[in-house]
Amino acid sequence: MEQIETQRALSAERHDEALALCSGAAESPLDFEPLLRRHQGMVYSIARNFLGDTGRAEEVAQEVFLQLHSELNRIESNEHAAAWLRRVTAHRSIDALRNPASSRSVDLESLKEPEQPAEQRDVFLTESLRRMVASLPEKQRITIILRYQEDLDPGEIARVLGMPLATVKSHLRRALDMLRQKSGRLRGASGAQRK
Amino acid sequence: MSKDVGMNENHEALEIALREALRREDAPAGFAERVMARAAVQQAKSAGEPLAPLSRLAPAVAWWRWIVDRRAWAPALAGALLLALAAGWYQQQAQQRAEAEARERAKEEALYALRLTSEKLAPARRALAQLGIDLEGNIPPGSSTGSQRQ
Repeated sequence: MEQIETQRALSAERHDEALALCSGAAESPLDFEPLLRRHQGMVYSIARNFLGDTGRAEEVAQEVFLQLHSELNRIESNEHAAAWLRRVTAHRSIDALRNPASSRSVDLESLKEPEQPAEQRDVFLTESLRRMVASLPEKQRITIILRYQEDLDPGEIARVLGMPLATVKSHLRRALDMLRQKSGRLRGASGAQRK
Repeated sequence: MSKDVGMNENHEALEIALREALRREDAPAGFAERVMARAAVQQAKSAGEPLAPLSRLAPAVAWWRWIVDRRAWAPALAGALLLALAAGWYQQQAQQRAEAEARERAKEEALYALRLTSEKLAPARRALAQLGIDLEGNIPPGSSTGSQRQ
């Protein structure tokens, strides 16, 4: 399975290289630290939203940037770096999830409705929604994150993940249906409690 | 119609909520410094490798490492030496065979020539013998030719 992920990463990498050439950025070699500071939020957030754990997210994010450091000579431009980082972060997050020692999936059914004041309800729903995303199957989870965190369209998501476009759309549709269903139940439960 | 509008509104509300929930956040404090420190260690480790200079020149060329690996020289040299010896021995054998064949051909030609010559001289020898003269030209005493000269 990891070999399949690697092969998809390689095919997507060729797209990244084409993107770099099309961007017309025949610049001098990029510096590592500026790239790190510019994209650390993006990389950390993808890992954090995917794994639902800040410690594991930082570990994955560090590994991503260390890999960037070792392969910096292959990065052609800032745009190429961003695409490269998204792709590597997605694949490393999936690999980290598959590691049995680190699997900390959140059971959706165990989400309880703590007593929250009305003015904090939105914050609570936001956090609950984030946890719901972290409980989705891995492919659906990463497509949702790339769509709504990174604002990528399905075609771009397909290139990042090395998936067919139809597969990406299917994952998005199923994930949204599941989230809509669960969030509706959660709002219903909170409404019943307030009454 | 109203049901579709309601569904679209729910969909939009969910998308807005997802964008809010999954909004990028800052990396933890000191993250960049920790990464820089690890990157420096990683770079120092790669610089300490025995073949680091060569690997920087040809990082993806595995055959370059094979050449500088001295353990690969001994069998390669032994093989080359054996090959050279075998080639030399074979060449010497071929030369000797050629010389032997040449000598054999010369011998046969000489024998053939002698046989021809002998066959051609046979009538003359018989004629001389009838005259009582041997091949050295000596006339035996008491022969008719010898008494006439006397």
